[in-house]
Amino acid sequence: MILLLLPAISLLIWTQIPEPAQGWLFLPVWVASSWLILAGSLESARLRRRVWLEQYLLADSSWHRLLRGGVLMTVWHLLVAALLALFMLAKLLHVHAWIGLLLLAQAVVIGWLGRWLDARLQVHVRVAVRPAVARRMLVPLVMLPLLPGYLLIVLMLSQPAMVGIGWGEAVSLYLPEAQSAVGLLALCERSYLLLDLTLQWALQNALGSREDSGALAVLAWSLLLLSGAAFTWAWVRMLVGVGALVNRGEEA
Amino acid sequence: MTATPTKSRTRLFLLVFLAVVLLSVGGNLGVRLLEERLADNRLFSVLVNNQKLVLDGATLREFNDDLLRLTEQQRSQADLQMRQWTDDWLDRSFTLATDAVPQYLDWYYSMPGSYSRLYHAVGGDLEPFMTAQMGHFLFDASGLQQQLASFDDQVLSRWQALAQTQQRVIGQQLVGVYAPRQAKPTAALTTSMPMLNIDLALGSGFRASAEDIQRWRTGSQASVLAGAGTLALLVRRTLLPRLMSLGAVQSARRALAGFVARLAPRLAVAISAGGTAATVTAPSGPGALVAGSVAFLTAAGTLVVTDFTLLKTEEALLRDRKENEIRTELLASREILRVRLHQHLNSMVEQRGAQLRRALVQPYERAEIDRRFHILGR
Repeated sequence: MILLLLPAISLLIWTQIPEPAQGWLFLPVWVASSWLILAGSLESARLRRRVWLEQYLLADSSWHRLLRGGVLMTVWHLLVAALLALFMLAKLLHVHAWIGLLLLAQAVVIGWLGRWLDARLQVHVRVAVRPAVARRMLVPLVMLPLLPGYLLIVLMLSQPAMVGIGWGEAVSLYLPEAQSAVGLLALCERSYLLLDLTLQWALQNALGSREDSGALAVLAWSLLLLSGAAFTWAWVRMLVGVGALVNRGEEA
Repeated sequence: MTATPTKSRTRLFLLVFLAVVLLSVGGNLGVRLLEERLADNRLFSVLVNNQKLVLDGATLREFNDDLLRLTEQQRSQADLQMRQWTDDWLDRSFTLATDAVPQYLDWYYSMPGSYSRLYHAVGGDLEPFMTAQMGHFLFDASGLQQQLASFDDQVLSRWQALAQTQQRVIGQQLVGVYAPRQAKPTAALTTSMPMLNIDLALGSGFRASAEDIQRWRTGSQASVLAGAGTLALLVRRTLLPRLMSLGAVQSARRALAGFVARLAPRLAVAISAGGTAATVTAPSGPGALVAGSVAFLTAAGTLVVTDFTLLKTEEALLRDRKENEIRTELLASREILRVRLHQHLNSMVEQRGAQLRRALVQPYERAEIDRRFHILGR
């Protein structure tokens, strides 16, 4: 449990640190969160691959070694993990305190749910893969309360009123400043802020008098769900990755 | 997966670290490259405080922000100063009138004053005469009339002077900040540099044009004067009737009117008394006529003198009260006028603010500078 809370709390603290120190800590924080995400996703990818191979390949085929998952898989997941972590960090800099609280609570929920799941699987699943399977099942289970909670909070928070004005005007009026001074992070922040503002604008104008309000509604909800899902998924993956990383050593 | 747990974890960490560092270096490099490529590298020459500054787009944007901030700051300061100046001016003007009150009362209780009042009371035109006298002492002789008449000119010249200093201050501050931050113009660019004349804009924004002065005058007539010609006329028209209707002034006048009313029958009595006395005591003939008229004149004269003395004491009792009431009324009118002038100043300040904002936008419209939004770069 403490192991889970540690990265969550330190990340939230990092978002509150004033600028020069935050810029220096950005790279370590990015490395650490990518590391955690990668550990978790690599484990679950390997598990999936092994199931597939054992299902279709003959036991003595040489393809087992070839397709087990090596450099290519690692590099792919590494890239995804690094980008997801970057997106998550950029968004974390701008989340509301309520969402921060929700994320923190999620760390506790993950710890508690993980233990409960482990106990349930004890009599059913093979010992060698039990932790991995438990973690596989943990991710969707945790996402289940997190995503609706996240949406609820996001939709309840106040937004700048943009009903009836054009997108360009909304951007020039209400786009907040990026917080970071690090070029790459600032770029990500601005892109994220632009995305957020766009979806808020689309959401507000979807029921308005605009002619394209139907398309706007689709855009708004897909952006909202996609960005929310990506963010919460990255967060859960990171926290689950703590367990995977600890376990990875033990099983080896 | 042959090694110890820590080794496996370290290997993964090293891999991630390498990849993230690579990504970060590459990303930062790319961002910087893009920023340089998309940087606002157009040059503008800006004329401010009679100096030509060459600024690039980003600096110009900051320059513009500073310009707006400074003018807004100066404008609110000007607002405050004008308000203070108007207050002082009002106090000074009305001090002239209050200082003239004792002079007016001196005249009122002097012999010529008393007798001319008596004369006009008997003639029936006391009211207009007194109004004219009060106007003469409190407005014309005290200099208040002149002071009020020159208000428009004074306020405009004051405003003008203030605006000029402010314009100079803004120009100097901007040059001080931005002269060291000039870009180095290349020969090819200098010919096509858009020119921004901030001096002109500030000048037309701050200076009161003929149209402004006209607007001020009509505005002051509309809001302060309510149909009257000038401020002086307004004060004269509203203030004098109020002063004349004051309790002390009224009771003094009533005392005089009562005296005049009493005068006529007593005169008749005195005349008849003189007549009877003459017929009883005096011999007939021309001597009797002389004696009779002497008696009449003494009787009438005594009567007038004694009654008039009584009247004077009655009035003298009222003097202090009267002086106080006139002063209070003058001060009350001053406060009413102050409120009106402030209202008028406010509307004027707002108009000038709008004009200033318009003027400051002009050079940018002429140079066809669009406001740009940057996802990349700041």
